[in-house]
Amino acid sequence: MTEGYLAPVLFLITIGGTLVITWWAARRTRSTSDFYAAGARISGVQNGTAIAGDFMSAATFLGITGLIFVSGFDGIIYIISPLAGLAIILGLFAEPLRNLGRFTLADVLAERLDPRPARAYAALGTLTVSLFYLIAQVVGAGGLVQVLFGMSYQAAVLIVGVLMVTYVAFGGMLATTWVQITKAVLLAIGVALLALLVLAESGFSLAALYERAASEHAQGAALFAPGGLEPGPLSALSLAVGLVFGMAGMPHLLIRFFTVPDGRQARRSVVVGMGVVTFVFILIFFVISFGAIAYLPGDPESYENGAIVGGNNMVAVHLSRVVGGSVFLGVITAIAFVTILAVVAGLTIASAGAVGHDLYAGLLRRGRASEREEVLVSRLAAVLVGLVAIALGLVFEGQNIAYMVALTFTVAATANFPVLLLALNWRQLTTRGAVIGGSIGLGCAVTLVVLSPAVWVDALGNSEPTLDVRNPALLSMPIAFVAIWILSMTDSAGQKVSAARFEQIRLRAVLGVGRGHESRV
Amino acid sequence: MLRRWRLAQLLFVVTTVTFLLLVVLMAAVPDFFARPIGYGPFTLAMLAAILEIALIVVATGLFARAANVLQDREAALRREREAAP
Repeated sequence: MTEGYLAPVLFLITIGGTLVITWWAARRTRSTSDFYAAGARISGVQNGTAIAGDFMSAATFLGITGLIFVSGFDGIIYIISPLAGLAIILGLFAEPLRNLGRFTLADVLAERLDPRPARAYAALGTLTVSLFYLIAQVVGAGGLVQVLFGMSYQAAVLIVGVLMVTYVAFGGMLATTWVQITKAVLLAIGVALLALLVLAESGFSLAALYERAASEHAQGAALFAPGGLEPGPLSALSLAVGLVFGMAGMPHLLIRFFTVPDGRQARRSVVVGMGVVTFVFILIFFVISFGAIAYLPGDPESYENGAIVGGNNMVAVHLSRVVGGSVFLGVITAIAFVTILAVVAGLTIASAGAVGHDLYAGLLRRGRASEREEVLVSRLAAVLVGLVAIALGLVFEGQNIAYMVALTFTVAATANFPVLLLALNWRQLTTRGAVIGGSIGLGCAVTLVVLSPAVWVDALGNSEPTLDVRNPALLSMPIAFVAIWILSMTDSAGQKVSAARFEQIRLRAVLGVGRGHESRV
Repeated sequence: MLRRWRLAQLLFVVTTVTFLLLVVLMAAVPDFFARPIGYGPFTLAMLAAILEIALIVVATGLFARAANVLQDREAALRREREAAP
């Protein structure tokens, strides 16, 4: 898709820049604190920018634009849901996580519950969410890089996989953070420039832009009204619930709060992150997407046999060429590539932490592993995760992996969010309730997604779904909460212990008073 | 202090509830939100979306500021108690 020498040059500059960051970070990564949490020396502004970079994937930038290109206004749910999710994180999790945990979500749960089962459960939840999301990202990245740079799918997956392992295995959280910051800044600048060029095409008049979009699209003026994406209010609500609370339960976002020194910086992180995401998303929704609708139909190069070249995910890329020429196209493709790398790096370090810190150091070695040993195991875990992601990325080539994203958000909303929320706020939560109740929620989420049309029909080829619910979070979340409640309330022995621990941690969670430095094992 | 913290969290969570309510209403009565509001093809739905985004962003900023103030007051009170004979 990209022409001449510009794309390869920008591609190499992008990779080179991120490797320089990794080299710089590797020289500063020695201890477990350095590896998992960048020494807790990241400022609120830096962390907020990194959170924005960690969250906004290529699917976010390109996929949402493509969705709005086809469906119009209904894509707004994918714009506002992450903002609501970030708000939930600020209100409920940011400071308590920073005050209670060290490196992983399991550290937080281990402060409140029996450490060993809590660690096992948290590690399982983290790995399930992170690995499924990682595979979806790698498959999507492979297809995207293939279209953008004209290389084979296998080469694209291999390059993405090798780079993400390199960032994490050598540079740990510090490299991951600065790759994410770089990406977020580049993405914000790229989106701003693209929006500016689109507005310039329409004489800096939004009304003119929207009039033209309405005249070009089959839906006409109905483009700007809701209707059609989801079959009814309950389905729409379930999608929103999954996106909002799934976002608030995403391990790779939540572990970012361990990189800042205190609760105030944790809160600042969310405010800054929300600012960056809001800026980018507003431009994507209100300008870029409708700009694509307005200006792509008049560009024959963007179409082949009546369909967008490369698929609807490429509309933003085509638009960049239409309004900014081949130079700007090269810039946007390079930015899209960095966007891929930043997110997969975040998912890899979350997975490596779950394996190295929770499973190996916490469970297997019972806290007796040296720092050097633990960091080595985590680096090896990053390599292993990368190999698994590459292998599965190759296996799933060309397949519809949209269900993996649905599964990721549903599991995060059902298995991670309820347990974390109740551990921080409910005195009567017991270890049995959290672990078994949470596991029931996890099993329920997986089962409902498998039985849904996205898997049962689209992926497995059956003619009709067993359960005609596309987004099951509205079912699975209440089931998880009820299971956790019943199993806690019927565990009278566990409640005495758990209530005492709740009193110990609640001041520390909210105010940072008496924060300790060792994880409970 | 903790009660005020909880109230701040509750207020904050209201922003999520309004968003979910908006999603339900837009899916239930799409024709209502399809009404143009007099600026090109801009609709009531677009206006509602802008207002909801603004609500979330403003609530986030207010909550973070309130939390900082609460924390500073608590730290000042603790220092006074420690300094008292």
